[in-house]
Amino acid sequence: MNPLVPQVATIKNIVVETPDVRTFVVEPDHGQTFAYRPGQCAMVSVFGVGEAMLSISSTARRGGPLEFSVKRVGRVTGALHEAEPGHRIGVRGPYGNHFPVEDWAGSNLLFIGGGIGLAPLRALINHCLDERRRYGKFDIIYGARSPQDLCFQGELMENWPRAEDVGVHLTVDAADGDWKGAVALVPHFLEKLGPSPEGTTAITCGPPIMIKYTLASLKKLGFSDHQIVTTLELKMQCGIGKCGRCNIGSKYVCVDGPVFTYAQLKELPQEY
Amino acid sequence: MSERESRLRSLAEELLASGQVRTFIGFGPGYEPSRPLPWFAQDPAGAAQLLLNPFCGATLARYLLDDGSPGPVGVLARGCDGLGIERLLADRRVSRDRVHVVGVTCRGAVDPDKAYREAGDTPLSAELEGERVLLTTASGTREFPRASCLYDRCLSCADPSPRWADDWLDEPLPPGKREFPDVAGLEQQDADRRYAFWTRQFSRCLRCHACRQACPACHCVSCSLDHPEWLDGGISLDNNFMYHFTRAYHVAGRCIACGECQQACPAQIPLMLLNDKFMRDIRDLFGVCHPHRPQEKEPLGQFCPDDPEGWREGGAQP
Amino acid sequence: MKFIAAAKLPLLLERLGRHSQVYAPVAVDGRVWLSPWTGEDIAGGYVNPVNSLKTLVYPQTEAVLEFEGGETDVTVREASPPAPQVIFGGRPCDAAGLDLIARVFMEGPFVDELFRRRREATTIMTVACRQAAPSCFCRAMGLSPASERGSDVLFFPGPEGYLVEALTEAGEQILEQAAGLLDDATGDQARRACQELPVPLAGDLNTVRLTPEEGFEHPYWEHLARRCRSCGTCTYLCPTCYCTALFDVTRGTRGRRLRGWDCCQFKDFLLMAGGHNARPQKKQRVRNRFLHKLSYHPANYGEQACVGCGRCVDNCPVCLHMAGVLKDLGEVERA
Repeated sequence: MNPLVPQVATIKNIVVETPDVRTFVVEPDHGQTFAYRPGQCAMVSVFGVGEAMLSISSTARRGGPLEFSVKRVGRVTGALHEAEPGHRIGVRGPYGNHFPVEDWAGSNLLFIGGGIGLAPLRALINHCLDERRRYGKFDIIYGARSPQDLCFQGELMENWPRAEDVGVHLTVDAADGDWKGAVALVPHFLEKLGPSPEGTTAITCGPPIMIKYTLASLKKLGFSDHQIVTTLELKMQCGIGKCGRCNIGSKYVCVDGPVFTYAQLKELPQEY
Repeated sequence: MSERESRLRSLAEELLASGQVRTFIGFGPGYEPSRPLPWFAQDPAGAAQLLLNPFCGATLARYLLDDGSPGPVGVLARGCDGLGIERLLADRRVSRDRVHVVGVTCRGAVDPDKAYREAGDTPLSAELEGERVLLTTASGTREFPRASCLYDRCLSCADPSPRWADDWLDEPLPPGKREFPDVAGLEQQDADRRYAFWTRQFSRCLRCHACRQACPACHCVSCSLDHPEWLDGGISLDNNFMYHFTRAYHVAGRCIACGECQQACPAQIPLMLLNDKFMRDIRDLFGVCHPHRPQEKEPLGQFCPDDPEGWREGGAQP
Repeated sequence: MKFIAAAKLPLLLERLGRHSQVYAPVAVDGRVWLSPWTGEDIAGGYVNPVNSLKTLVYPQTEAVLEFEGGETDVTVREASPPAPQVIFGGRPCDAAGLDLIARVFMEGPFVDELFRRRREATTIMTVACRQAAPSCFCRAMGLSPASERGSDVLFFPGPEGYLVEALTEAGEQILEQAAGLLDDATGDQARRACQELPVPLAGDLNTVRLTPEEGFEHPYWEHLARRCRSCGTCTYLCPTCYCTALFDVTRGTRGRRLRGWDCCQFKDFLLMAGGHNARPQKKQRVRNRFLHKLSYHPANYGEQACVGCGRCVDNCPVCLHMAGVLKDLGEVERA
């Protein structure tokens, strides 16, 4: 079996999340959806256009179909955004490591997301909510460019705030007329909220520039390198550690990542 | 050390010390005497290591595009470098006040590989004397014909000196006239044989872009040959033909005939034959005497109602 | 150990050609390439062919799959398996290089099926070296002109013909096809001559084991990268470079997904949709290439990713090559 050959899958449903983010609900035409864990990715292809590595935003233990929440940025994501339910795409995976949830028993969890970075965090948050008792307090900090760019609004505004001992804190870079919430960049917002590092694991995911400043803010708040977990994104082609592309030093983001602790990141060349 | 070399060093030192330039691009010591390296002096110590000898090979103009060199930039210019600089200026990729040109007259550069084959040993130094090259190896000095030692690209050179410079290391020589004997030779063959010839050449292409990256006329910020919409990354004879036709057409009328593309090609594809064909046609069709020298009015860069249109009658003329 | 007379070599290749595509060193416009062999003169007197063995086992472009149909009815078919091939005339450095990258494809959580199938369909008949070029430095990389690594059969050239030694089961099987052309060998002079051949450039090199902690921020990389033209000459000729891209090519409703070589020195190598580029500077790309070979690959596989074939030395238009870097790093370390 050639790992570069994808399963053919059909787009069953498309949820419009924001003006440039859509969630694609996907089921393979033959056989079963592969098993996966929160934080893992898959190569999604539009035949004739190409492949893109996308994080899986559904939660495997909930048993439903695969979901990919995709921001329109380039050729493949652009083609996906043109697709309709019933269209066939290719899916191969799962790739990469996953969030080390097994290490977090008893810990408070601080999720920090920016923009489309909430997609893998959504998989993680729902996974952790389903075993809520294993962890302490949950705080979800999420920022987007504007109120209309907030993804997963049903979960952000309804499901998660209603769950037991979960704080949801939203911010936007720029408000519009109806926005009553915070207006701040995620790292500033985080510092203002000032969560205690005591017994807490911080998990952050977002655009590279946000991650950079969020890591600095977490350090300022007193989080140790081992308490900070982040994900990295680099250009990928094969997803299986063979194409030589997504290396940071001797590590490949596709097989050794995308999830790294800050302690692990510090061991690597600062080139991502 | 030659007189020109010491003059180069002191001039570069002066330019750097006075702040007139922040980088000086020339040649410096390499891993062996016959292969000096492109050199980027940023202080007097760097300038003191500049070299100027017949082994100085690669052309330098393209380095002006690197934003890694803080400017203004001084650059050593032989005839080919000078035309390359003119090309970049004419195409507005480099601005005149950021470049300080130090002109030198070049009678051809010695190809270390050819010299090794001729002398049978690693060459340590070379001297040009008219039609002869004196090569010194560990076993002594012997003389060889110029044609068997110089880079191919230097054998057809018509521009020993740049057309202008801010400083000169020696007396410039007037430019000659470029001839295109190989083009005529290829044109005499029928279409099938020409096709077979180019098939053999282009089937070797690795698409490494060495030709493009060597060329002072191939400086687009975003190149169509990198975009799969225009040319996919598959290596096939068709795609390789497409690559080289696109490249040749794109530099047609702007090629400065430095020959660095062919020199850089690891598959030894005779790219200058294509470039020369365009230049010869531009000369004959548009009456441009020196088609490789940047013109005030580029023949292919403008439309004139009386442009020759021989192709309309169905002939590939001339 | 067997012997084959030089005059019988074409007969051998002809016989192997009945069941396999045969490649052999052939002179094309003055330089020797490993080319599909159809009876041409087999070149001698070359040090290394322009193309390394990599190009035939890990081709510059190969199909991953074929697809057909539209958005709602597309069907996908795996690319057909490769045909058997025999490659005669590669050098020991290249065979070692092929084995070195084979570990990348065969080890780890995934096996690269495209590589595995083609390698298994290939028999490598290497010819040990009787001459070295000024650019050769295999000995500095722990190899020799008679290294066995990666070869199925090793030929040792002598004045009248070749000593022939099968090194793998595949090699033995292929020699069985040559029954009648091979004699039992007496003496091993040819082998000793290859083993003892001096390799010129090797002496000064390989004095360093650079770690990223020591070397990453060294100003040397800026100095080195200045002259790089960001072309792919070094990586495409290198027998141990293996970066690729995947891309789709369509004609009407049919298409193929191809895998093709790519080059870490190209400025858009890491450019992502959205504009992020982890190595936008030449310095970063040049440094990554050399640290990959000298530090990152050793961290993962316990060996440096260079076999000293000398192609980068001979072909980089601005002499930015591994031998030079090894020499420089020796000095950087001493300074």
